[in-house]
Amino acid sequence: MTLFSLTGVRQVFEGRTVLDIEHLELSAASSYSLQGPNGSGKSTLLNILAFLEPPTAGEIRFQGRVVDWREKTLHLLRRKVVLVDQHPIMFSTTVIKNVEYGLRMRGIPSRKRRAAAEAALERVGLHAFADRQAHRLSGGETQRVAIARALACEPDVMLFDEPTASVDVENQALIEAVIQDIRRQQRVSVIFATHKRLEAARLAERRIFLFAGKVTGPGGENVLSGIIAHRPDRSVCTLGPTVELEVRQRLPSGPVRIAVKPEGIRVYSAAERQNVAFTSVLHSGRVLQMTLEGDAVKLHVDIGIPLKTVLSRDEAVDSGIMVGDTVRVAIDPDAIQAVQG
Amino acid sequence: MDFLSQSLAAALEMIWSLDDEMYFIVYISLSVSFFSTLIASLFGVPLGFLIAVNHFSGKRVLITILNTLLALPTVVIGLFVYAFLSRRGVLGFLGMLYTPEAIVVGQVILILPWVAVFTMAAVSRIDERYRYTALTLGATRLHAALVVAREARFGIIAAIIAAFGRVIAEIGIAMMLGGNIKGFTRTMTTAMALEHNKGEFVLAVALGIVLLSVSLVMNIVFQLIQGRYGVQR
Repeated sequence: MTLFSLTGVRQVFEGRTVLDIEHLELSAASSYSLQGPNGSGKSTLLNILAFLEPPTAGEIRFQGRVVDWREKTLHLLRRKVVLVDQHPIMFSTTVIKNVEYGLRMRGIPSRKRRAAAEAALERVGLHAFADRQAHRLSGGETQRVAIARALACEPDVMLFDEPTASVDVENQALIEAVIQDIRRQQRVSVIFATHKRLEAARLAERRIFLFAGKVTGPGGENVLSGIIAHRPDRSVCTLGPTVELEVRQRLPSGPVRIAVKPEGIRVYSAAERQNVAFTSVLHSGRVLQMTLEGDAVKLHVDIGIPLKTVLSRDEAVDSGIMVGDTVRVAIDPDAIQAVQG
Repeated sequence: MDFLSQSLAAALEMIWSLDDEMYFIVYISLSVSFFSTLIASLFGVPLGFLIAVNHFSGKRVLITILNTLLALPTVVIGLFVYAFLSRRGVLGFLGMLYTPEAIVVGQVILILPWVAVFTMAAVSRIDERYRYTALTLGATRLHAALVVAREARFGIIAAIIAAFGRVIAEIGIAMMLGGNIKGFTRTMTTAMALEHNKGEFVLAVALGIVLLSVSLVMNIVFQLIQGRYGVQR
């Protein structure tokens, strides 16, 4: 069953289009991650999905019905979808009263409310904090209480805006465990924004990538600012003093933001000359960091600009590349997405 | 120096002996100030709140007007309301001139901008996320507004207390619209001015002490409220 269906949705703030989605469908009882660089429209999309801000244009269907953005119908929709903010705000009262708030808004009687709030706090491991003042909690505890507050409402959909971005490792693990737990209840759909590829891989069944407000393929990690210039034979984007990348997209000359998809970046050891893909232009660089991410190896390479790419473990072993090695880097011009700005 | 110390001693004795005339003046002052603050708060708090949370054309103009009205001299208000309430005025038939009600009308005009502007400032400082959090948890717009008002409560209480302090200490309106009638519209400030003109300082000093005490008590109460709930924050 389709949970959300977005068609031609645009959000414009002060004349700037921050979200522009042609079509996007999200299924019920699934988990989705929203990935993309800062300013890619993740939070804007979450606010629209939470019915907090109407889009400037476009149609949104929720559970098969077109969303009516008139205030009197919106609060009924909001009772099915709860958004947990990146930096949740606590009302200046006790933890338990914070968790009870949504239930109070739904007219749940006091005793039942208290029991439900305590159960929600139990799920996030903060039952003992019930009578504490919410403003005195640490960042991680606040995030967990915010999740309990949303859980207590028993929504159909839970939205999270970078739930682990501002918490320590311990709380990060606890929060991920709670989200895993929510996912296991097949009834609740989970949509969360994150910068963390591993977190997305662990928690989401499906991943949505955004860049400059548009739904794109995987990527969004190598986001850089540059200047487009047109040569007789090709267009190039100048990044920093020494790096020029060929761009296939047709854009007027001037400042741009580009995203280079990691899979469009190939790294060769300095000695390797055969099988060079994409282009004859090879950039010289140095491997700064290699990390294991699931079955893949993530490489941080400096070619005058920082780039991240991903190899399979076999590829990494076969190439013999080590941290600190000088390497040659080829970049597929089709893997570069550019937007003006 | 003797003159001052003697006046002060006599004033304290007057306060201690529960002088009828003095305490009736205090009662009139408190009563008029209470009602004018109450009415100004009933209109000013929602007005300030609505200006703070809504975006509309002309908002800046309205804020500028309210800020300008903060500096409105009490005698100008007195004159303005007098023009309406005097026998020849549009509302002269009400017979309100030189009554406590007339003072209340003038004082409401004086402090309504104060309450509105300081409420607006208090509400504007509240993080927008309070409203969004309430909304995403299923609150109606009214309930979300109440959440914001609750978070801004100390600022709003401070605005009301400041407004009360302003009216209890003002003299122009009380004199021009109340007429300083003994036992009817004589307030602490008008009585002090009269006693000063007469060269009688004892009652004036006694009333001055009471006036300062009222201000002190108001501030202590506010600090206690803020302390009690502030600790919970």
